Amino acid sequence: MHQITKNKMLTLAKIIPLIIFIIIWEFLAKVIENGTFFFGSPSSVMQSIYPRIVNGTFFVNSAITFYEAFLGFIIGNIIGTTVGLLLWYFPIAAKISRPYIIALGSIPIFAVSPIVIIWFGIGITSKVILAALSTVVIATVQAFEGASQTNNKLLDQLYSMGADKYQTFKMVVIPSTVAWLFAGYKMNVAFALLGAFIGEFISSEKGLGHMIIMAMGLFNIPLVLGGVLGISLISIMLTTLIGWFQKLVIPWNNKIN
Amino acid sequence: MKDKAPYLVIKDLTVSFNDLVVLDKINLKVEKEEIIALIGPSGCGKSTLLNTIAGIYMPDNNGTRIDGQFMLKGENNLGRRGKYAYMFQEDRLLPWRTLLNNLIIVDEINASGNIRKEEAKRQLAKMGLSGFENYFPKQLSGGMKKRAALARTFFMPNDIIFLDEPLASVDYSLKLDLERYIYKELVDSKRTAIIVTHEYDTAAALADRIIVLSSRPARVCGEFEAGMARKDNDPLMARKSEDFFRLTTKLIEFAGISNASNN
Repeated sequence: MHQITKNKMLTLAKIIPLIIFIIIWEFLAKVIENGTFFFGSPSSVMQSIYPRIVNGTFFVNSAITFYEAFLGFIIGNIIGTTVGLLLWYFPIAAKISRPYIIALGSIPIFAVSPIVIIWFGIGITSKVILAALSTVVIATVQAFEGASQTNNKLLDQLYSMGADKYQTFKMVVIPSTVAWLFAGYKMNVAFALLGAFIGEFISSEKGLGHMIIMAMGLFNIPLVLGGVLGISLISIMLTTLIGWFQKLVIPWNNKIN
Repeated sequence: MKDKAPYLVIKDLTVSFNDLVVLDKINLKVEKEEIIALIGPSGCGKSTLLNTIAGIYMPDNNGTRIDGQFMLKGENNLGRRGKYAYMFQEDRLLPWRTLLNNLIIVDEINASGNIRKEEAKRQLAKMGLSGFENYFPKQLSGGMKKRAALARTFFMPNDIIFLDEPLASVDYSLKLDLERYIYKELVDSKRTAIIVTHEYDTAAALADRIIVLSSRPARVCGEFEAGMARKDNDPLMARKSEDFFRLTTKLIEFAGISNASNN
């Protein structure tokens, strides 16, 4: 009982700063001259997205951006995780590829996005690829670093029991890397969204990025902010999903009495 | 009673790390079903000795032989892995596996396809861990983890067992319990053991023979016959005998002399 009230209090405490922020924002926008034009306001954001929620376009745009980011996220993380773990398995490959991975990781996704759009068109595919490209290097580095940090004592324990390299990989390296992988995935939510967004921003027909750039052309700042709100909602959704998935995959970490 | 043919023979075992000689020509013969206690100052290389025999470390390339076979540095010492049931100083349980699965991994590695689940449960029960089969190591106390690691070691099918400080950092009454458990398990399953310890009383209560290593570089500097537990088949009874006090006194005197000569 006590625990429940405590949790409720905490949820309440989480919401309070948001409410205060909304009130101050609304107030300042009203008070400052042209405030709503430059900074939008909570009520004007709602006014601008409400008709789009009613006619469904806000939902469609959000769903498209979510789909692009999610698919790119999955592809990028699967490839990155696989490559990172393989690099642990083949240390020579890791040594050779290290500078290339660093180089790839330092390329701003913005720089390659025009090329990707020329190659794959202005449809959804190019956005998925951009989202995947934005996530793949982090996933690779995270998997490799995590695998390299495996406790040598546990590896020796298995070797002394006669395990071969594949068995230690399966029974020790992968489980001990999982926490690292999820840390990377959580970072990658933002990067996948960024990749999808940049693609939409540069050239697209649908999606929240498209909506934002259209609104920008019309100096409709409340609608721009409405798009931003949509993106952060997607980000929260994806992060929550990953949190659930993590609890499912790493039961040994949350099962403490 | 015992057959006297040596079961594990270590000859001229030398190990060094970057010119730091840790083990210097160690010779050791272990008979079948014999319990050897290895004592010596801390940091002298007792664990290194076990690690090298078990194929984790490489011996130097200068005539080390194990079971008559020459060990060559750079060449594969890895073939020795999986030959012995080895309990390291730390419990080294896999945090992502329950206690039961931490035992069963032994069978998973050996790939015979035969998972001895019931026997694993029995082994845990012997250590007072029944009811905890599905707990993760994180949920257990240090003493329980130690016992689980012991259970895993005895669950391994190997004839020769290495125990590295199996009774370190457990309270005294648990230590006496575990001594009896270890002794009983070793005798019942007719296994041969090398037990590294820094506690003279444990060595005297458990072992048939006590081998003393000098400080680094470690050489065999003394050997004592013990076998006190054999009389009543109980290390706790052995602790109450006069021979036990005589032996521990001898060990203490010996350690004092060898320490003085080192300084």
